[in-house]
This record gives sequence, structure tokens and C-alpha cells, in this order.
Amino acid sequence: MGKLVQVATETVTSPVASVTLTGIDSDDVYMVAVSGVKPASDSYPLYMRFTESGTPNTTANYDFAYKELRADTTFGNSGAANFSIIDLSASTGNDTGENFNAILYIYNANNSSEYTFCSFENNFMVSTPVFRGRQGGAVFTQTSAVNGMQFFFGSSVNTSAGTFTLYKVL
Amino acid sequence: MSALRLINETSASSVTTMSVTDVFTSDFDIYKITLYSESALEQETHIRLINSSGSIITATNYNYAQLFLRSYSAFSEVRSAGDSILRLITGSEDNYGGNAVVWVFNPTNTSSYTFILSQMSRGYDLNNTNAFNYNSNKNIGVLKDTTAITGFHILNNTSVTANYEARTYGLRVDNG
Repeated sequence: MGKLVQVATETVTSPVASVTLTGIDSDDVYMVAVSGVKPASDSYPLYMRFTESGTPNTTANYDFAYKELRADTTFGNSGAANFSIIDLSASTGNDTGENFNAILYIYNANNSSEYTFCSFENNFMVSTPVFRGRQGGAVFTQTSAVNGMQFFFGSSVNTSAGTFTLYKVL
Repeated sequence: MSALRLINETSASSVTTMSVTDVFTSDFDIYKITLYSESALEQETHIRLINSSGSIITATNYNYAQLFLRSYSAFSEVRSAGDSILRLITGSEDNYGGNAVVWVFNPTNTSSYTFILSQMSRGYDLNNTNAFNYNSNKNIGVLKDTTAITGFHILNNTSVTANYEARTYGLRVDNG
């Protein structure tokens, strides 16, 4: 089993607009563990962008594809190209017990000759409430050095809880 | 030292169930479990969670959704919004064995449900001809209960005897 070395972490205990993790500085694979993430208002999607020198890239250079597993009905497929965000969740609930959790792997981020890829698996309660999760991946189609990522909820809703930790996989 | 810390190794031979107790604590929010299941007879290996009183939770508060992948026929969807188990974490037949990696989130946090992500990889005797067939799944699960969870219980759908091995790791977060 590979060794995980912690690079950065942030635990949200009071509302913040976004969470940024940085510290990618090698060509290793990186893993991000996310637990207990809640929007400050009920029913908002969680997004991700990659950062260059600590600044999130907001251009329409993200492609993603995923299978959405649902406990209530038929699973869905979703894919998009040239978006300005990576769409990690549906409308995540913030009632008691509800939150978002994920494991993501990041590839080629530090290599400025390659696109930055990621794969993810996650789960969350939507506000209805229905249990769902996504299995898929995404790419940032720029050949730049990526040093981290930013997480934030849609419609500028704050993040009110959660822990985000970046590890290097050795 | 890796941030992934081995907490417990538990194994049992020729049993129908196996409990792993007192492994989830406030020291970690996220856990990784590797699970091996082997049996001569066909079985699906399920999980139930154990609360801080040591009781196995059997209420129908488990939800799951899994994409079931087969090497020998079409994929299918398995789901429940109210079961008494987290179904088909792995399984076995003809002693081919089955493996799973299970991530557990927030088990001791009484403000949160306990969530899981898992993947399995197992051998199966589809037509009972002693021929190997392969299947896998991608799974999400939740116990919709904010009780503190401190362990897990392995069982199978046909109560056949099996050999189980479970290793539980905590994912360490250092806040500086």
C-alpha cells in the first residue's frame, strides 16, 4: 500500500467562500480526501477548480464525465467539455447528518507539458433527501503547472463545515 | 510515516459472521478497510455497522447504490433506499475469493451520517460448473443515523461458512 504524505489541510469550522489547498510541487500522484462538507444554505452543488501559483483558473478549460449512482432511481451519466468548473456534486443538503465526502486522485499537475487529470469517487445527500454519489474524472486542458485546487459551492454559497486534505502518494 | 495508519487486523476461518469492534474513534474522520472473503459456496458479503454501545445496527436505515460490472454479461444497477445491510461489499464462490476496498467517512461524528465508498473484485461460478467468472462493483453507501459508529460486522446472505480478513486503517490529518 502506497505511502501518503500530507501536504496541506483545511478544516472549516465557520463559513468561508472557498477552500484552497496548495503544495503540489512534484510529478507524483496526489490524493485529496474530503469529509463532512456542508453548504451554508441547503441544496447547492460543490465545484472544483485547479490553481496555478495559488490562483484558481476560471477559464472554460475543464472537461468532466461521471456516472451518478442514486439510491432512489436509475443512475445517470453526465459529461461536459469546456466548462469553467468541475462539477463534483448535485444539490448537496445541509440538514442534520447530510454532507459531502470524496476521494480524488490528481495526475500530471506539476508537469507544465501535460494536461492535469483527476479521477474521483464521492457521495452526498441531496436536499430532497436522496442519497447519491459520482464516479468519474475530469481534465484541465491547459499545459501549465498546477499547484493545487479550490473547492466552493455554487451561487457563491459559503462552505460551513468540512475537512479537505491533500496528500502526496509515494 | 504514512498518513494511513494501520489500526486493526482481524481474520476468522469457517465462520458465518465476523465483527471488528472499537476501531473507529475520534482520532480519525476517514478510514480505509481492505476486506477479503473466501467461501466454497456462493455468498454475497455484506456489512452492518456497530454503534458505540456495541450493538449491530439492523434497522432499515442503510441506503446504497452500486454499479455491478460483469465480465460475462451486461452491467446492472443495484440500489436500496431502506435496507438493513450495506449489500454486496464483496463475496465468493468455489473459493475464488473476493476483495474490496472500503472508505468510511465520519463514523464517530454524531452530527453526520456514516458514509462509505467501496469497490469489489471477486470470482464467481455463474452456472455452477466450477468455471471462473469475474465481477466487480462500484458502490456508495450511507447509514442514515447520527449515532456514533465504532466498528463493523461482516455477514453473508446465505449464512454459509467463509474465511474473512479485514485490515482497518485510519487516514491521519495533522492540523499543524
